[in-house]
Amino acid sequence: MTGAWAREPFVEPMQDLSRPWGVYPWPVELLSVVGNLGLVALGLAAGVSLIARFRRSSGRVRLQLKWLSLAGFAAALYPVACGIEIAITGRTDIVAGFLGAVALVALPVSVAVAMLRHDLYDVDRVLADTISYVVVVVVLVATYTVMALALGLMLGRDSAPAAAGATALCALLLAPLRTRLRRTVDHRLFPPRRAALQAIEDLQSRVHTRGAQPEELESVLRTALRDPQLRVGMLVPGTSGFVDASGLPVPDHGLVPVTLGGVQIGVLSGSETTGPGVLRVVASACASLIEVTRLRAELAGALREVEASRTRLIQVGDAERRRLERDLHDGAQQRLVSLGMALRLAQRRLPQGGVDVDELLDQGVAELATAIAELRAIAHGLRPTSLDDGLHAALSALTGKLPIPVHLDVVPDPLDDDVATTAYFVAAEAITNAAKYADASAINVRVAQSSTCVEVKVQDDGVGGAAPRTGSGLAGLADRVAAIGGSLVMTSPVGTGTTIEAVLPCGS
Amino acid sequence: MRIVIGEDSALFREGLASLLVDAGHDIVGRAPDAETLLDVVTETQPDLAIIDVRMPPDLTDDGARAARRIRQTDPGVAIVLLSQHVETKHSVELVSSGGFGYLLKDRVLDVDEFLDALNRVAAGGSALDPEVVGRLLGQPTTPAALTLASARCSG
Repeated sequence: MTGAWAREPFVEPMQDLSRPWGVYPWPVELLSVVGNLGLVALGLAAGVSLIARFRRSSGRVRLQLKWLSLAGFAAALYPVACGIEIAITGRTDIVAGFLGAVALVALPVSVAVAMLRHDLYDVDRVLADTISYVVVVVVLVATYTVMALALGLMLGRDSAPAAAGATALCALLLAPLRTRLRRTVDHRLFPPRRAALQAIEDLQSRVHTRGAQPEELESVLRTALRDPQLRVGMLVPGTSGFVDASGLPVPDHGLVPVTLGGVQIGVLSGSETTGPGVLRVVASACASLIEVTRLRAELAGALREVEASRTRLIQVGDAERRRLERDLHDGAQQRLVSLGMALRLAQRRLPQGGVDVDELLDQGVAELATAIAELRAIAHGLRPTSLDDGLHAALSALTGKLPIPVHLDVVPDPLDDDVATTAYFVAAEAITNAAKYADASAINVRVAQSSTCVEVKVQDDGVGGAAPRTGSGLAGLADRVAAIGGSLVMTSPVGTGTTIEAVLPCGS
Repeated sequence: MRIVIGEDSALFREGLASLLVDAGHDIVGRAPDAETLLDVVTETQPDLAIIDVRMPPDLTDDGARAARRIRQTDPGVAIVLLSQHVETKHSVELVSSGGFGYLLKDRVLDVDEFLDALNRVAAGGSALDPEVVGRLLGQPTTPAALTLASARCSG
């Protein structure tokens, strides 16, 4: 409205139009002054109230206020930009116009974001970046202006060297200024983020120098971010979902992923007060610590498994020895003692006559033959001697006596003794189980060799649904296979038969 | 002498029975497991029971446990435990009470010595296998130790 009383001509192309009213009347002049002062006072009051509320607030409200302050910042920047542009070019032009438009758009947008989606974007980052960029621009423009003026005075107006010198100085200032400013702004504005980053750095150095445990990360972050609900979860092989350093599962909600080299290795989760933005920054800063923790957990798990497997192997070995001792005492040894007794009896009866020496010797030899057969069976249980003729021969000897047809497809090449023995026991146990429990009509055995491994696959068409029990022959086999660095897998869906597959590494 | 044999291996049981019959003893009962043995001993009240340490039902030390029961219920029955292997667990406690012997099964092949040991035990003496004595003394069973052990057992 005050424009109607203005004395200057309109801007082009309306310079020829005349103003409808002449000089300001004094009430309009007064109104204009009061209005402008009121506007400034309102702006200041809004800023003070924003700061006061921000200080009192926490959590969600604080995040919302940060968004609002972002818009307020853009609005406050507008007159500053105008002033700078007027100082340099003598009038407001494209920069001030652009900033004005940005401020106009930013105000409703940031209010909307604050009301609706304050969790979605990283407000801390946006604020920090805005502030540090603005300060950088202001400093650069001021430097350029002062330098250009000073050099212009010395070297003459519109001097090319003056402009070049000022530009070079600004370019020199730009990079270090930005980094330092960014750090300062971060430090001033976002203590939790700073505290967390500092704590991570601190833990890293303590791990390096004083033997601190990387597993302390969770408690360190909890202290730094003052968030007792903060959780650090990792992906560890052999567990489902995310687990913390002590192996407890981390609940699967409100998680910020932790990635290293593009692969997710863990998650962070916190209470509402710790925004996802802070967590994202923390996540990227502590990725290497989490990776170390994860690898350590993986290693510890592998060691535990090796220890358990070794214990099982010893137990299996002990049980086997006990069985062997019993077989020897109750079998062959007993027979030999009986045979000795029979001979002694014959010896004592001979002088009295009436002893059928022929029959007695027959009985004795039969007893001896049984003892020999038992000894052979025991020795065979230790290591099948038929393996000397190759795996195929040994498996043929085993399967020849079974009532179920067994199709053997066994690699003809000689295998290492370790591998051949393990392959034999895997196949033998699988075949025996199939024959005993699977109600199968046919069994397929395939032993194939590649350059790095031997694969043993035993497949039946029986009832399936087999599950390895602790202490069963199959569990013992898995340990035996693991002991030579191989792996054993059983698949046994109900109704479609059982497949047992072992992969045994071999040198050749 | 009236004897009961507790032994699960039929072959050994019958062979032993023949030996003992030839030596002029009466076999008044045969038992293939520990429970039958207890019944047979209670029923026949023999002078001597020859018992295998390892017998059904558990095939661990059922025979030795049965021997301890017999010692409680029928202290008048002399006992000789036979074992396939040396152990000291079952022998020491019972041997101090007299009328008890503990021998490896192979000793049966030295028929005369075996029969001697049976007579000695039936008369209230003891018989402890030299191998067991050697184990108890913590020494390897040298011939000297064996002689000593035999002397102690006989004494």
